[in-house]
Amino acid sequence: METFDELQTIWNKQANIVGKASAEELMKKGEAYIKKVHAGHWGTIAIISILVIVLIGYFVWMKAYQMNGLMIGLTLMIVVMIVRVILEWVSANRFRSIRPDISLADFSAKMHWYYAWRKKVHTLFIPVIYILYVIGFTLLLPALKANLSHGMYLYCVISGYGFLTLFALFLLRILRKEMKLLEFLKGLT
Amino acid sequence: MKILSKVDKQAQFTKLFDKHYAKVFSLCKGYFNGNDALASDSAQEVFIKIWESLDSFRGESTFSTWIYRISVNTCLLYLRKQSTKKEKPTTIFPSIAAEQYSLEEEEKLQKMYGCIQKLEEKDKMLTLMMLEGIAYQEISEVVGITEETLRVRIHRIKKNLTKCVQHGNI
Repeated sequence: METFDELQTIWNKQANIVGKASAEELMKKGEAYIKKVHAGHWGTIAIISILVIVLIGYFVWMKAYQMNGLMIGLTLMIVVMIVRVILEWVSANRFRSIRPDISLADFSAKMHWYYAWRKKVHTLFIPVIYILYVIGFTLLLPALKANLSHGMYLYCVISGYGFLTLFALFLLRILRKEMKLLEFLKGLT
Repeated sequence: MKILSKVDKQAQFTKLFDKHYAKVFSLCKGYFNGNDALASDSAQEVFIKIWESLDSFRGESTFSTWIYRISVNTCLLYLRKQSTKKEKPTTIFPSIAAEQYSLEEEEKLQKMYGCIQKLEEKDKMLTLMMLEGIAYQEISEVVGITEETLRVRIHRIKKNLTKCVQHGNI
């Protein structure tokens, strides 16, 4: 019959430290990480903003305001893109506001708060945005059919809906992953 | 909050790294069931976060408490946030100093790792910090519970862990 002290002695005998990194290496990785976070943040915003500018440019170039279906479709797509940018911005800021050096109890509570927000984003905002985007794209089709060759039109339809289907699957995967995390955090708080 | 020059920051970081890396590694290793690779990767992530946050260290706690908080919070979410790492920390046991261990002790150490994995997440962290010899006051600051509550929990954990190593269940 052993005591806890005996277990502690066994624990203390372990040989630790395998593949120790150097402080210099980690400082470099730390700097690279800070740059990557900034680049990723601004990169995402830049990509979506360019997309919005392209859509607005297309809107002006096609004189979409003269055609009702096209105008509504493009406006819908532009507006939901902008809402998506704002949502990502808010999410990123909320995540960054959670400091890693708070107590485990506070950290778990804040991460729970963050993933509850992400759940709302994924189950409420994103489906609405997605549906509006699909409606916007569908409203564009008659105008595309009238202005493009049959082959080009078919390409737009297949690639457009194909992309939207793949994108929906991708969103579902993210949702499943984040909900697992939320369940885990619920057990902690 | 004192803004450090780059040279001061590098010196401070190196000092913290030399002093605390071993303990951070051990904590992560215990959390990942003795998996050295995961422990090494997560310990590196801890120090990357330390580098990132060093400028914002407010001095409200000691450096060690601050580092343990980052370690515990990082290990907690490390595997769950990795989209590509499907590895579960259930099969790899620690590399032990074989010459110092009898077969019986080796078996008990493996059982200890197994029993720690059966604990609730918070208790797992408490146990690992306790086994690493971190002071109760510091553990209570890291976890965010009172020292009194901590003592009660640790008393229960010690009893259960000993029982689990002997009989295989908590």
